[in-house]
Amino acid sequence: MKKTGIAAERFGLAMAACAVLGFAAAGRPLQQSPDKEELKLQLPKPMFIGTPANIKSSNLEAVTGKPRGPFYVPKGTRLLSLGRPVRSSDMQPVIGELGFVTDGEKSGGEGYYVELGPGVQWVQVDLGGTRVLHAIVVWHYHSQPRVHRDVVVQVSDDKDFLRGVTTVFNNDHDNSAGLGIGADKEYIETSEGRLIDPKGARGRYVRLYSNGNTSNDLNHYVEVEVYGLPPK
Amino acid sequence: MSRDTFRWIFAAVLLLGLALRFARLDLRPMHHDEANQALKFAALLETGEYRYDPREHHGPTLYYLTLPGAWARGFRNLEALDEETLRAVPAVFGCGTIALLLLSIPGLSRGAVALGGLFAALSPALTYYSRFYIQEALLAFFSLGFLLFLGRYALRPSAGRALAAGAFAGLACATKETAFILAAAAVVALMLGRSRAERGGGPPIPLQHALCAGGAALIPIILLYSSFLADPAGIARFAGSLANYARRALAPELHAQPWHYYLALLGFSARGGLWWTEVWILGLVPVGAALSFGRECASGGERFWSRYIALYSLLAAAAFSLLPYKTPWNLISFHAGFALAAGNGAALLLRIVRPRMVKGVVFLLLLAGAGHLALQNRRANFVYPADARNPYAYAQTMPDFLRLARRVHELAALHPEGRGMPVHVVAGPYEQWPLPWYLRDLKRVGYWTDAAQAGGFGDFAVVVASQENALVLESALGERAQSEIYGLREGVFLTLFIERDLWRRYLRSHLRR
Repeated sequence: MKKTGIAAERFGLAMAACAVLGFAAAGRPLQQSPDKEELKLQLPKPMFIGTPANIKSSNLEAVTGKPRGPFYVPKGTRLLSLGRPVRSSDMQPVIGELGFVTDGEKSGGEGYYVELGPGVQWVQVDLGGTRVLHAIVVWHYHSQPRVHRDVVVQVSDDKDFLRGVTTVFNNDHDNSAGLGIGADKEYIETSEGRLIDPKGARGRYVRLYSNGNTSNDLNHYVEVEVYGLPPK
Repeated sequence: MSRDTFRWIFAAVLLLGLALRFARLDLRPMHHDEANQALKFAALLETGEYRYDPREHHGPTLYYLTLPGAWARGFRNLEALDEETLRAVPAVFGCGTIALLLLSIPGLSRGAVALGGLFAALSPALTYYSRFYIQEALLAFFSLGFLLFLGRYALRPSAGRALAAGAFAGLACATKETAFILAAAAVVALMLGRSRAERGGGPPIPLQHALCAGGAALIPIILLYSSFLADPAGIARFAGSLANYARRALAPELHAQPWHYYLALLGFSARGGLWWTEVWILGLVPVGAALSFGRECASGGERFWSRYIALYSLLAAAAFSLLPYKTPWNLISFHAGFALAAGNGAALLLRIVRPRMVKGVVFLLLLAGAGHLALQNRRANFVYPADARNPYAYAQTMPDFLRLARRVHELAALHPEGRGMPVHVVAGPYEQWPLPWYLRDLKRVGYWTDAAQAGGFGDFAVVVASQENALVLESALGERAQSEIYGLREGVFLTLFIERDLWRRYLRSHLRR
């Protein structure tokens, strides 16, 4: 009986250690380190109630329906993208304006999103200078549960993204966007948006690709927020 | 408007209608109802046999009238068929509906018919469902033909007009069971639209005319429902179906909508930053009806036609609105009448407005209305044909589903058995369609409603599953499969399971390209 109890205790300790290591490996420290602080995001109101929890696929992040946990960034990290100029592969959007992408308005309703044409399209935020980036949050369209295809996020100092490109997120699992296969999974977007960890990537421009979604072949952006350390 | 001017204008209107109805017919993914109709037609094409099925399908005209186009293109089986060939049939009848408006001359003025034709050509709703492989565009054509010949007969009876009215009524009944509602609306509109003197003074319908009309109506019903007498019991099934359809219309299990559904659909709807209205057409209908009571109408004939068309459209709209069962495509039969009535309203309005400047303003407003309809038409049919924000896209298959179909074909091309690759579809009937259309060229596609029925998946290559089944399959197939998610309809997803080696082969080939 005692042996069983000790074994269970050891098993419990091992599981706890694995959990701590797992979180650490995922870049989400359980405890705030002294030089980091929690990234405070202003989230819009949810536009649909509940998430379709029964949607399952090995290429889709499990839908938990729970809020995202805290995300820690170096102290002094600021929102760098607010009001910054935006370029796009579709400079004449069907609905909305490119300025919506960085206007700070994240409501998913009518009049708050920009709609780009079908197929692979991108938007690009100019941060005005090379910055060290610690978080990128994107809201494509959160009025209904959708999977946005081929979400690829890159950072570069080259406005044409020909040189010095760092890919910080890529969930194109079959190279349909032509930017290479990514290891990230697809996800169903909610009002929390998608938080991407650029792991301190440096660059002046942040470019976000997508290739339609499960509801239509168009591309939508409500808001993109880029967080990093401001210039000294 | 001179006759020559009218000819040119109407020809231009017809061309416009033709272009909007025939351009890029393959743009929108097949709706599950279209796919279902396509397979029903394919059975007729391949075997030459047709059996009326009153439970799942409407009348036979759609299938028989698709044959000439398929033959002309040399198609002999389901696999060869394409969307353009199928959708060309309702598109032809959608254009025919515009052309039929000519039958209201000389009752209505040329200006009224030209404007009515323009509204019909530009109406987003009329165009959308004229590009949809279901019975409605044909029903709208045949029921409008009956309405117009009935009106012509009422003013100048002749055996030819009785025959034509009967033939159109018969063909409408052989198209869809709801034709009886439209026929009844036309008869009531005729009775109400004629003045008391006209109603009381006319001679009774000669027996010869009644026989012509009755015979002309019965012939298509008998021939088509009996599959050209090969299946006489089809006529009895049709007769029996009417009670069944009445029950379904009054107490629907699906598609129950509030009474104002059609009014809202045509009047105003907005979703996701897009708003839609055909108020330009709806607003001019009462204008024409009201002016028909004044001195603006040039003759008794014009007065009659003005009231008759407006009354028919309103009565048919009211009848369809009162029935709890509603699907959006039902509206086109009465909306074609609204378009003509609106054209008449616009023409009468232009006639009564005297100062030239005010007339010019009215004309410019009408032009703006037509322009706005044209913009919405483009949006509904060419920019957002399958988008949930399009009010006419009802339970529409999403473009993402085409990626799934494409993926299955790409995988089949890599599979050792090619188009003989086994494909398991494990989904309820609602989620299976339109897969049978899109996988029509694959030789080994099996359909099951749940995973337990499908048995083992030892030799699986590709499995398409609805979400309830995907949970079971996810654990059954485990690491043997790579899975992907695809949108079918709004809020409805399918999971595609791909055998892991096949997936690796796919990635290798895809990356090489």
